[in-house]
Amino acid sequence: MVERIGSGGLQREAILAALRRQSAQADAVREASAEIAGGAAAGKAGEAGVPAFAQTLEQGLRAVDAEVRAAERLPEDMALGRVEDFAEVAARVKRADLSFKFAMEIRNKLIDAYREVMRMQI
Amino acid sequence: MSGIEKLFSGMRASSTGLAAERVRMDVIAENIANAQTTRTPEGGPYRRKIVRFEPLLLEAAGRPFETLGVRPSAVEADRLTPFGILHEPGHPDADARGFVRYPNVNTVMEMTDLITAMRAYEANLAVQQGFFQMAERALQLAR
Amino acid sequence: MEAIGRETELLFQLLRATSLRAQVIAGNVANQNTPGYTRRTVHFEEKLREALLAGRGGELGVEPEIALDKATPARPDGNNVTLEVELNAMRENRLLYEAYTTILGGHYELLRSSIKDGN
Repeated sequence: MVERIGSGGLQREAILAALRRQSAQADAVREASAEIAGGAAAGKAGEAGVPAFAQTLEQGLRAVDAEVRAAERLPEDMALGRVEDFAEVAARVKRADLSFKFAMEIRNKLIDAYREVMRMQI
Repeated sequence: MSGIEKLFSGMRASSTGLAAERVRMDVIAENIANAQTTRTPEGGPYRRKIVRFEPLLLEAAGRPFETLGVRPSAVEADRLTPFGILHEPGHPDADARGFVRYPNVNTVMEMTDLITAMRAYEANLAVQQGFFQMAERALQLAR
Repeated sequence: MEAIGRETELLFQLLRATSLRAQVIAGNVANQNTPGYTRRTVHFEEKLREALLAGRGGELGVEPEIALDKATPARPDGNNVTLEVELNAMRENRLLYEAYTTILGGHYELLRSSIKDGN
């Protein structure tokens, strides 16, 4: 009996599960973005949405910080033999990069929201 | 195996295979070259040489069967295969009764072993190249 | 919002298992002429499938396992490695690795555009 990889649709099920998680993640990013924009608008109108906005922002910045740290730990992890695969190396770099871009978008939205508020008060 | 070598353990395993087959090919070449050597400096005909291979095992707690490759553990004389004996009274190395002992090298078998070794060498090379391709593909993710 | 990357854990498990299998195949090929050597295989997809079907999130704890293949008959010298089998396994494995890295790349591409256009 010879082992056959991929027989019986084992791979396909695993791949489908991974794809489902992937699209859920993309939705989460979009929702977070919308939430921030919505929070900024609520802040402008002086509603109770302002603390929610600050909270979302804080969570977002923590997440970015975590990813950047994971990327900084990468050389050390490699030297200690904790990294077994090149895909992990590339993925951690990419994740830090995306997190940084996300933080930039948040910053831009903050600036836009601030300008809106300033314009209102005049 | 520790440190950064973990990333390369597959490539290293293939390297050991390449090195081991090279040793085997060298030994086969020496056997073939000496197939007719009836007298060596040590006295007596040339004795066929064989290579012993052993797997390199990791022996880590969580992975009892993990192989890191192969190593040629010894190159030794084949003492099991008998010398060929021919009756050649005029031969300079003939004994008192006119018999000459010839090396226990069967050239046809050596050639077969050589082909096996070459196939194995090329297979290890293909596997090693596969690792390079996988690593390159994986690193593209970061771009 | 969760940290970017937590959702790809399953994909990374698959990648790590595929990487390990590549190493195991290399070990088999290096030992194709070693007397008495039993070929090794990696068990992972079957265990993962069972965990996924059980549906209780246990799939994240599934680890790949290196096992001896005692089912394949050995030659007179005790070695049961066949070149064709190993090279075929290597090719299949390579394709899977390609598939997983492509999915992962698509995932990051999706995130990237979500970040840009997610207003």
